[in-house]
Amino acid sequence: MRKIHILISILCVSFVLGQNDYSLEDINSSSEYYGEDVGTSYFPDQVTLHYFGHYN
Amino acid sequence: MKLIGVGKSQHMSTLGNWTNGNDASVCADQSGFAGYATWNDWGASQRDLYVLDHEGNEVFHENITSSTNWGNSSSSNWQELRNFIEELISQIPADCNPDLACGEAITCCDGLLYPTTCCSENCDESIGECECTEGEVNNDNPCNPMECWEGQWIEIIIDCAEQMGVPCEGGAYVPPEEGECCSECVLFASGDINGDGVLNVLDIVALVNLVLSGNSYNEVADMNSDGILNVLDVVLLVGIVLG
Repeated sequence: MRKIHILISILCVSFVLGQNDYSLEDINSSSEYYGEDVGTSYFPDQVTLHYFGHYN
Repeated sequence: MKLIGVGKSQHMSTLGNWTNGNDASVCADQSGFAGYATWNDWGASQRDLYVLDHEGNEVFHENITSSTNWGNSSSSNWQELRNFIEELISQIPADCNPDLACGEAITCCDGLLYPTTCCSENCDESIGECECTEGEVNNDNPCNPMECWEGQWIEIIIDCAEQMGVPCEGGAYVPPEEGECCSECVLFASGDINGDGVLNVLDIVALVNLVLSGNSYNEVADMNSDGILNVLDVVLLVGIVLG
């Protein structure tokens, strides 16, 4: 029952945000959006670039 | 344009490599039940770059790992990408609010006609160019002058007393001068030189005598009220009598 509950929650979040969208905290202290949850929908009517990467 | 870096929470110990001298947003996707949700949703791989237009549509996706194609910031790939992004930015419509409360009236704004008083502020498209400049007047037809109001010509209808059947009591209608529309009701007191209450040839004869004799000024005979008795007064009186 617990696993079904978690799965439903994940599906609900996906539908709410929509395709190509996310909401994650900006952790760059130099950014003007530091501490806010940003994503595609956070910047409406703007061209957005999304770079997926990490340092191993 | 906004740039967002999306990393993974387990690699945030090297966050400084991302943010050193960089004020773009940087996020850490969190590891969860099904892995890194954002990375999974986007189907992203290490060093994938996505570009979304102002409507949130994905318009570019490429892995920029290759140092050959993407290693040099002045490479043709980067230049083409910059040009592409600039084109996307140029397609962003001007700031407007479609929910603005506007008056339903065709309005001229900056030479263009809009269907409401908000002009383009409510995201309305222009319906054409303004016909004229605010306050401009067209008097080509003095009986149908037009004035520019809100970018459109507004006709002014002039109702002349004579055409409306208003009698010219105690006088007669004089045809309008050039540039004028309506006849003028000229009272008989002006021109009734013999004072018999009627304007006829007797008054014309009397006026001619006054003009030729050069006698003192007679206000009743001064048909055009210019302070002089001359042939102009005679012509005007003849016009009234014959009209």
